This record gives sequence, structure tokens and C-alpha cells, in this order.
Amino acid sequence: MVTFARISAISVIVFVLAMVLPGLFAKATSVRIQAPILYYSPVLERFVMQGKNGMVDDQGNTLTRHRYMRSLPFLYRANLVKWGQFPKEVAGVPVTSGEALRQMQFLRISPRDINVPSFGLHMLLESEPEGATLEMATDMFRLGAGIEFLRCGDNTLDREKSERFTKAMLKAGFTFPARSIGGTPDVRKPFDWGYFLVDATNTLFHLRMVRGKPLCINTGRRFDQPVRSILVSEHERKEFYGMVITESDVYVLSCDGYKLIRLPLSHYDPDRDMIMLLTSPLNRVVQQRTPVVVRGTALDNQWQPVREYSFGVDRGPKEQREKLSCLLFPFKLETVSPYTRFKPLVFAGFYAWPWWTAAGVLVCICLYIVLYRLRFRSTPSVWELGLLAVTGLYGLVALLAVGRVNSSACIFTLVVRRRARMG
Amino acid sequence: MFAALAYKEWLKLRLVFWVPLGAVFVALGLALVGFRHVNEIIGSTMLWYDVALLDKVFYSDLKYVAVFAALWFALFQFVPECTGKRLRLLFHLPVPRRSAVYFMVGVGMSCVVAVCLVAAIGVACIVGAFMPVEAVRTVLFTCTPWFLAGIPAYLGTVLMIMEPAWPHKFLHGAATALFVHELTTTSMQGAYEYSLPIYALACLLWVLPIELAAFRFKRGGAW
Repeated sequence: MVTFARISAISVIVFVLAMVLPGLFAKATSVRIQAPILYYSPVLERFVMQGKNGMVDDQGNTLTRHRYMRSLPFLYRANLVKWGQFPKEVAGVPVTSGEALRQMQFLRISPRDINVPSFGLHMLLESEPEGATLEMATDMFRLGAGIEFLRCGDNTLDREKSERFTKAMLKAGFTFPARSIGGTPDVRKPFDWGYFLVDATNTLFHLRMVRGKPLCINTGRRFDQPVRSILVSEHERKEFYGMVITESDVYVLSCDGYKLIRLPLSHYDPDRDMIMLLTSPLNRVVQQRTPVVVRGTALDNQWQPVREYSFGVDRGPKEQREKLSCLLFPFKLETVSPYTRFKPLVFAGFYAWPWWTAAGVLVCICLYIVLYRLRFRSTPSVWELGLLAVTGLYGLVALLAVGRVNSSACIFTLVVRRRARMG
Repeated sequence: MFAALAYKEWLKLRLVFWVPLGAVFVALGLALVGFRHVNEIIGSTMLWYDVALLDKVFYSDLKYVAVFAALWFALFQFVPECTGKRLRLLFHLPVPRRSAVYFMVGVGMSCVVAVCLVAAIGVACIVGAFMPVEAVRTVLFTCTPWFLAGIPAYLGTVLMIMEPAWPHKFLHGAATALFVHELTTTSMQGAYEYSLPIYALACLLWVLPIELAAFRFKRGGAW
């Protein structure tokens, strides 16, 4: 039993060190890897970017700051207007600075927007308010076997409204329970598009409240794969409602008959990749940013690709750091992740760089044998060496700290005792 | 014999038990004041909006009550026992060492759990008075890691007090503090929804090392 207790004491220390040390090491040796953001220049008809090599186009030509900004007249509209250099037409199309401002729309979806805890309560705003601006609703709704509205004032169920909305949804063909929901309950937006919901049959529905009455529209769009997230973005352009993210695709939901436009992505992983969509009067640019590659696709106004460009993310400095980390730590317990807002506790990176980890483990084993012989005049047991082979530095610290069962103090006391003897 | 041990623990804890409970009531009172204030000043809709959609936490005073209760009970239970190595007298009683020590630990843990239960029921009632069951569920998910932190905090403190050697005390203390910090680190409400069982299991790692510390204490280990 005492042996089990010792193993448990060692486990506690290994567990905590594996949770804390790799994170501290990563912070202490952090390197900034910032892959440049790609923009498509309708003037040059190629991608341009601003990276560590300055401002360049996708053919490697260096651009001056002014030339770079002139190549992106819609993005740097304000600067060009101030300098009196805003063009009258771009790529043969007449443009104004006001139109440029109105046509710029940016959407971004990252893994942390998808993997996020849900409270289960949503606020449906009045889509056509009496006043000029949107107003906060006085209730919130939840989804279950139907839709239920709860009054915020007295925390009670509004049965009449709940039944009215449930009936409207059922009449539109909605099958409860809902699988996914997306909406933006923010009164600062210019207007309200309500919520988009995916029902139990994976069909997309549009729910709004118009003058207090439910308006549920069956879009007729059905997904083959589970919908991970729905992003709704109310924008003056009113070209699309937002984006629908499935396991392997991102769709733009067009305002024209709820058409689904599949974005040109390659092996999209919603748990790893970030997607950016930037619209301008002449183009849409889709950018897929994975941990290893940045891929940009410029599309015309009909969502047809006109140019593609991709470049690898320079992971050299990060790899060096990872190797060094593997030398010290054979594995890690991740409690923070850049890909989720949930709190993880994940065993990761076991012998990720095997030779580096093996070298580190070997040093730990030799060190332990030497210290053990100095302290106890014998060799450590096989299971202790096995433990070191798996846990490396964590195990070394734990074994030294916890000591032997039949020893009153740990190996750390060796130095103190020697000093005492010498004294 | 266990009745006698229980009486001993009763004598040690009967008065001090109320202090962590008082701390819980203070924290619950502050949470109630926070909820009531927002409800009254900016309205119930904004209260719901803040909690459900803006991820505001009006009950963060509860974060350290379990850790405080754990430290408090462990100190009042084990410092008198370990001062002057009195705990060794316990090991001469006609009770197995392990049973005696874990009985004491069980009593302390029960007190920590009782305090956490009061806190959990209290916060559930406060949130439930203002918001629906979804909010209560999420708030409890958010508070549970804070309450779970009481387990390693209590067992780690007992380990620190009982271990005869200072390096052991330091390492167990440091490991416990780091894990407790991890459990009480601010995250989004409901962030522990999927990992809570794993964190709960990890808390149990602290149970067995008590036996090692007791064994060393009995044997009279020292520097």
C-alpha cells in the first residue's frame, strides 16, 4: 500500500509538472510567427502582402508603401482620398470612395468561434421595429421539443408566444430538436436577420420576428454533414446572410433565394483552420489559414475564382523550440488551446520528436542513476528507470522529490547531509 | 475506537467549522447583491443579456471559498496533531494506521464537501431566482471546478503538514498550488463542460500520498 502511495505521490508531481512546465517553457521561448495577410489587388490583378520582407506581390516584386496602398484602393480608401489619389475607376469599373466603403465586408471564422460553450439562451429581436433602431427584446428563447420564450422580467414562460412560434416553425416543416443555431442579438447592428437554425433533419430554416409575429422560412437547403456553426452578419450590402460551417466545408448563404455558395477551400478542418472572407466592389477574397499554409483565392462578383496563391508558413523557429521542448518534456498535458474556448485536459505530444525526447530521457536516467548511487549506494529499480523512460524530466523531479519508501527524506537531502558531515 | 476519533475531530472542528461557512454566506450575499443590483439598475433583460450572452460573472466571490475552507479545516485538524509529533500517539492506538489517518481526512473532506454543497445550493437558488434553469446549469458548471479545487487544496495541505521532510512539504505544496490555480483560472462560463470528469479524477490523485506521509511520520522521519 505504501508503494502505491509512493507511486501516487510521484504521479501527482508528474501530472502537475506536465501541466505547467511545457506552457511555461513555450512562453519563455515564444517566437512570433506571423504569416502575412493576403489581399487581392484589383489594380495589379495579383495578390499582395505585407510581411517581414516588406510589401511584396505574389511574384516577389517589392512595392513601395504608396504603391502598395494604391494597389489596394478599397482597403486604403481613406488614405488615398486624403492624398487625392483615389482612382475614378478600377479595372475599367467606375468607383467612388463612398461605394468602396459600403462594399467592404469582412468575416472571419476561427476554431475558437466554433468550439465555444453555449449558454442555451438566445434573444430574438424585432426585425421591423417601430423606431429607427433595433431594440432589446424583453424575453429570451430556448430550444428543446419546441421553442420556449422566457420573460426576463419575472423569469416565467410565455406560453402564448412559445406556442405561436412553435406552431409557425412546425408549419414551415421544422423538425425539433434543433441541431445548430446562429444569430447576432446585438442592437447596434443596422438591421436584424433573426436566426438561422438547422433542424433534426439537417435542413436550414430562417426564423425572424416581424411586428411581433413569427416568420419561419424553410430554405430547402439540406446539409450532408453536421453543421458545426452558423455565423450571421447583418451588413448594408445585403449580399449574403452569413456563413454556414460544416465538418469539411464553409458555405456563404446568399440573400438570393438562400443559395449556398461553397467557398474554395482545401481539406478544411474547422478545428484547426481560420477562414477569412473580404469583399470589395470588384472581388471577394477567401483566405484559409492553417498552421502550415496560407491559401488565398480571389473570386469575382459571381463567386468564380480568378486567381489563387498559397505560401507555406515559416515554422523553422517554432520547430526548433518544439524540438528543445521535446528534449526536456516527453509529453505535455494541455490545459489551454488556441483552438477552443473549452477548458481542455489533453495528453499531447508524446515523443513528438522521438530522437530528441530519447536523448533527454537518457540524460535523466543517467542523472538519476548517479544521484541514486551517491545517496543509497545501490542502483535504482527497473520500474523507476521505466518510469523515467516515459516521463523524463517530470519523473526525475518526482522520483528525487518523493524519495524511497524506506527513506525518511528525499535525495535532495543528500547535499545537506554531506555539508553537515563536512562541517 | 472510531467513535473516540470522531469525538476528537468534533472537538477540533465544532467551533471553527462555522468560519468557512460564514465565508460562503458572505460570498453568496455578495453574489445576491450583484444580481439584485444589476436587475434593479439596468434591468432584468440586461442581466440576462450580460450573463447569457456577454459571459459576465456576478458570482466570482465564490471562487476561493472551497480552497479557503480546505486550508482552514486541514490546518485546524492536523497542525495540533503534528505539532510535537502528537500524531504518533494516534499510531499507537488499537486502530490500523491507515484507517485512523483516512478517518481524520474523511472528516475534514466531509466538512469541505458540506461547505461546497451549501455554496452550490446557494448560488443555484440565487441564479434560479433571476434566471431560468439553463443559467443555473451553466453557473454550476462554472463553479464546480472552483469547488473541486477544495479536494487537492485540503489533501495537499494535509500532506504539507504531515510530511516530515521540508523538500517534500515544499514540492507537495507547490504541486497543489499549481493545480488549484489551474482549477480556479478564469475561463468562459461552462468551459469545463467536457473536461470536468477528467479534472475530478485528477483531484483524486492526492488521496493516496497521504498514506506515504503518514508512514514516514510514524517512522519518525526528519532531516
